[in-house]
Amino acid sequence: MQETGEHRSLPPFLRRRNTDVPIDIALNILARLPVKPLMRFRCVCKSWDSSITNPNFISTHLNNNKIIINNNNNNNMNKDDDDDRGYLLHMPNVITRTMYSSSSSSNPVCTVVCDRTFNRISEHPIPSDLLINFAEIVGSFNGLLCLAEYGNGATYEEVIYLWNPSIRKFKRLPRTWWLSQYDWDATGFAYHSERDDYKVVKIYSPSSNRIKRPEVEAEVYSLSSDSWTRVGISLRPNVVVSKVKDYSSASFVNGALHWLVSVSEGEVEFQNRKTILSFDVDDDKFGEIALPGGHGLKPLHSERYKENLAVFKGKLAFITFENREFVYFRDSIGSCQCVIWVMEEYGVCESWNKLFSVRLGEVESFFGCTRFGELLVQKAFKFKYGASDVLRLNNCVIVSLDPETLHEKDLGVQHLPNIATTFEESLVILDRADGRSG
Amino acid sequence: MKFCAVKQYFDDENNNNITSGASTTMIPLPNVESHPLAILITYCKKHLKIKANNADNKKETEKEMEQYEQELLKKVMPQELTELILAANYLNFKEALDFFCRAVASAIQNKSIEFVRKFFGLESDFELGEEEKLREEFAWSFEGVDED
Repeated sequence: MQETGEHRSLPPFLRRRNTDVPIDIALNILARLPVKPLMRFRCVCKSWDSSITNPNFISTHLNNNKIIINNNNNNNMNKDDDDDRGYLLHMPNVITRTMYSSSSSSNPVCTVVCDRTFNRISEHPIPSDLLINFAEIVGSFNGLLCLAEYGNGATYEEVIYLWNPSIRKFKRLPRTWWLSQYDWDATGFAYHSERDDYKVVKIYSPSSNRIKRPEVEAEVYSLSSDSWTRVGISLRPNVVVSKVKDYSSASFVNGALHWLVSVSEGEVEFQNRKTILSFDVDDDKFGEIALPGGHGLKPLHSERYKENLAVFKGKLAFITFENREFVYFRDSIGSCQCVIWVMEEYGVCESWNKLFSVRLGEVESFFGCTRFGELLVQKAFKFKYGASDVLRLNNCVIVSLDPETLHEKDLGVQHLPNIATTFEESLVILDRADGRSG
Repeated sequence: MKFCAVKQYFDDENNNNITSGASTTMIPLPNVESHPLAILITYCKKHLKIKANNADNKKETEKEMEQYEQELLKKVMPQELTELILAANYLNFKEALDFFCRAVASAIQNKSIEFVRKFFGLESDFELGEEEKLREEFAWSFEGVDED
């Protein structure tokens, strides 16, 4: 340490000897740093390396980040402020990688775009041995992404990764084989905060078409035990879940994951209807939540009619889009009736509240809601080719739409997003990753 | 009282039933130099003053404190920060400790490993080749680092 002038005149035994910063203070300082310098400072000395990779430090660092974000959020309830946590993430797939090449490099990157100010973009290189062809981003918690490759039965293998782009580390989840007679249809990713554990839920349906009354199966992975468990889905007597929307990722709210499913009800004769399947991450149990009145009976799929689960200002929401066409003179104009139902009191079916029913321009896909309750949608631009409607290729106009004012904001996004979610920097899984950095 | 270590001293005194008629008491603080102590006292007084001025308005207090802290940082050398941290730690003065830790974190976040080692008085204790291996694995984290 530097010695000041006055020290030199003092006899040696009066000069301060120990000016070393004790390790707990060093950690106090380190826990406030962004991820990049933290990874670098692992090289400072051995004790710093083991401290930074320690699970307790990783938690403290994450909580520090959350406090900073929450403080900023609590102070800024102003919609136009820069600060927020909502993002649109895009993972290139094996086709888009050849179609569009990234302007900055030839390596594939995961693009993260802020859902509020479109000039906040970050790109995260995808590690070269994270082998994924058509990635679905199932969810994101604490900077950790869950990527699912559903596979096509032939060349692309089924795989799930947990990836933290800020530290460039990933973990490939182990495979199970007890459901090899089934097709993997849907996934959910959740964070159990009390136990600081991450869970992945896979839902399967029977491969065979000949089963009279198909019933879906599920298994759950826990990061803390690094293992899968079969979990039975038992709802009310004589009610079985027969189908889940293909490749759907669950909505996480109130400590549970939620999917839209079809159930068949009855003893001898079955009646099919739709409902919400819930999975509580605390007790690992499945449950059922009825849809708002009347919706249970409509079919699960339809060209013009789309149904989605979402989280609207912290509550479970059921949002439908019905694309319509009406003729105005000789032009046909597309429009969409969008209805937003919000479950005011979680689990109480009588509390479904039809918050909005608005007419929008035609909607191609829906990604989710922002923290302020705006809808993130891909607008449809069709043109007539002969007698049919053709969706414009490379159509990528993503807007954030306020259902109250109907004000639309073009987010200027270049690539079709995979998911709208929160995202932050963290060191999560630094202590568990087995993948090499890319 | 913000200087918890000093408060402890007063509490201990009362417990020992030492009556002190004098209006001044000398409290030994062997681990704190006069310069950082002066800064901490000023910081503490300013904090209490701002808090009193803004009564219930927490947001105003935070804003004013932030402005004062920015000004203070301009007058403090980076090397002095470690002394201030050690002093605040010894005195158990939490707000100042948090502030100075934040300031150090800001100051070092773009710095090289060599700078940080010098700043904290640390030396590399890695085995031969271990450090190189880590550096190679996280080469990306070395990009854009400030020159020493």
